[in-house]
Amino acid sequence: MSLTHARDTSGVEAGSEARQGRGAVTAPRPRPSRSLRSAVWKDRVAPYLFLAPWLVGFFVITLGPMLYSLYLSFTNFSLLGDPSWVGLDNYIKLFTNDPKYLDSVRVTLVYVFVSVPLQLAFALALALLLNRGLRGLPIYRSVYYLPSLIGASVAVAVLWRQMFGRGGLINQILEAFGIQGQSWIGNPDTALGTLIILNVWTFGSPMVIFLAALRQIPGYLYEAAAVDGINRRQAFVHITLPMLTPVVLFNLILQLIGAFQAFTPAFVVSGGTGGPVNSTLFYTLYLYQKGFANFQMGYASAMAWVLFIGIALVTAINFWFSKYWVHYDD
Amino acid sequence: MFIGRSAYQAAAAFGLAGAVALSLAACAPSAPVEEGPVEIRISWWGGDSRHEVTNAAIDEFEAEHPNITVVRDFGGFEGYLDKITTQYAGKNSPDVIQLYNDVLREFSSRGQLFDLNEAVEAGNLSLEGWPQDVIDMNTIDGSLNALTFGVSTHAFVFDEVKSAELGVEIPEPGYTWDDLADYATAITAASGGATYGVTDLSQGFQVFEVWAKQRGEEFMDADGLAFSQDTLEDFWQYWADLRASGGATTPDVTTEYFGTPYDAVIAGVATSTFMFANQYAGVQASMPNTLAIDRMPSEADDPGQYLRAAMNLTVSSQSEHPQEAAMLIDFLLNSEAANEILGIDRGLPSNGNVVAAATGNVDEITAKANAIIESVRENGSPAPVPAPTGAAAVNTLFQEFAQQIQFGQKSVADAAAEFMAQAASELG
Repeated sequence: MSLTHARDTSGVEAGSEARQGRGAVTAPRPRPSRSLRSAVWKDRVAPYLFLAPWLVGFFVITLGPMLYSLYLSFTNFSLLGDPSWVGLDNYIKLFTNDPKYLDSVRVTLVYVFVSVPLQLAFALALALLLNRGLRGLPIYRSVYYLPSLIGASVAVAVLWRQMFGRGGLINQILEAFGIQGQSWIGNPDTALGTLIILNVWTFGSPMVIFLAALRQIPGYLYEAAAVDGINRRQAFVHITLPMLTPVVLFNLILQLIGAFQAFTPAFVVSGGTGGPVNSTLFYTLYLYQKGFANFQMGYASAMAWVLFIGIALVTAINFWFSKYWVHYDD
Repeated sequence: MFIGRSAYQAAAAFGLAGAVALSLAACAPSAPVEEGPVEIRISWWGGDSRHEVTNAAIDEFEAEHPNITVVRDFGGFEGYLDKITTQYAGKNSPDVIQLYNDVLREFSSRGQLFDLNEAVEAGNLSLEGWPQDVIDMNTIDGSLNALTFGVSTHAFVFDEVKSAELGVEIPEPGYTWDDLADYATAITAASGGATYGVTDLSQGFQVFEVWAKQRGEEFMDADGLAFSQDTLEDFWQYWADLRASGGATTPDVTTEYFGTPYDAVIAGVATSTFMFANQYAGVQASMPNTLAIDRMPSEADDPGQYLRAAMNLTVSSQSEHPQEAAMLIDFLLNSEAANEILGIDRGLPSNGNVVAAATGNVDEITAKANAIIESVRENGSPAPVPAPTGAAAVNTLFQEFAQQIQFGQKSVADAAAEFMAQAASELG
């Protein structure tokens, strides 16, 4: 109703202005055109000016290099010298003639699909615990968040080397119990496990987001449920969890993307080799080796694009499935 | 108030958009050669002591050539090659670049290195005092692509104190591979397994290089692999036997000290390992126990050792001032003034005329390493020609197959056969 009314009014105004303009050809009124110009300025140009720094950044620093790497993925670019076109060769070799590449895919998938669910479960459990009105909550929150701030850094990966090495902290603890330890990072059966633990340990960032979401669940839902006489477990399953699902989806997608691209821990813990016997050869680590150690930047670019498409697919599938389990309160 | 569906989706999509981006800026500025003041850039890797002496030597060069300013870019070895190649891709490479042997041909075969012969002809670079085999080693397809910045050689070190504590005699000079195996097994047995006699070096392609030379073969020549599969099987079997006898480190320990086996000796995990002679002084400085240094174990009379370029100086073909860059190389490699400052941090000078200047005031420890290098200068094999393109990938393959044997995933024979095939395809 109000919309039609507004349109009618503007129509009348426009019509009357047009009539006036036709009636007074010799003395056109400057006001409408100036106001028109300033309206265009305000609505069309000004926003882009404000957006300009981001747009420049996006096109020059993100999109430009991305498209360039797409081009490079069809070449034999070596970083030294000029690229020459090889068509789909890089992509074909990836899937038909590079067992090490398939190894890296396998290692990465295990890492992603084991560490992310564990990490989110851990984060949610801690968030529920911290949400129970603990005294000194800000301190606990900060302490648990700390690993996330430094978790992806070189310092922590070096620390991990020290902890899980042959003479490391873990083995010293085991020794106290009379167990003869081994080098956990030097054994192909356990090396990836230590990296998964490292990722789970950095649960702080999803935890803080869970905590914020828990605080947002309206209290009246629990009050109403209490009146209906449900217990704590039922409240969790039927109120807390459904209300949290949008945040679970958000955390899930961000952590999946992050885990697919993990690089630093494997690089530092394995000394850049992805060893022992390629057991920690993350996708990005192999990409790095190909591009920078083996002078095959074209091939590495193809790997980057396959990863990009892979992450996009996983994300799309997640969004598609989300309609079956994510509850939006809008 | 709850955040709606679209906000989450937008946020997640944003994370995805930034997901993968390889950034390679490419721009090609080409200023004309200028008269008067010239600025050149040099890149090297190393530790603090190397940075100190190199900077001091370059200061001296600038004092002698007031019109030339030298911009220095230096840091650790980690990420060094990435930086150089990225600068090349951006058409922004340094003028003078310190490079290592394994990648020399990767650069030269793609036409990225200036032919130093042009500077020699222009009188800006002298080769007086340089052994012919070192010049040949750096000549690829007729062009002089690099000059050796410090020569070194393979060496073996033994922890004297720990060996004495365990009552095991360190092998005498002229020792064989069997002597080493006996020593290592005795150490591990005497220590009750707490200390290993030697680090497992089956993944050490540089060790295998000597092994192959002792059998009249080469690891790689200009055409590719230059050894027989039997030689490789013997080498890997030697280390498999040492693991079985307990003399060599177990695979998990070997993996921990993969890149720097001498760290296992510093940590007291093993009592002997391989290193390059120019690394000896630095390693000795980081541990209290005295380290004995010797040549590699050998078979019969061929030591299989040669004067090996520890690193090289090159001039980029992208350089706008290649002659001035060559002048800097000439100063660093051939002047007594520079070599007095540089000392032997990178190994001994190749130019015999400045060895005295570089070794003027070395300490006792360094002198022990120098003696090894000098003994090889007198009684060694000629240096191998630069490795072919793809050599870096072959080195990685060598390590991978050796590891698969260590962890029992492949037999020696299978690994050797597969390595020969895959390495050939990397080089093909």
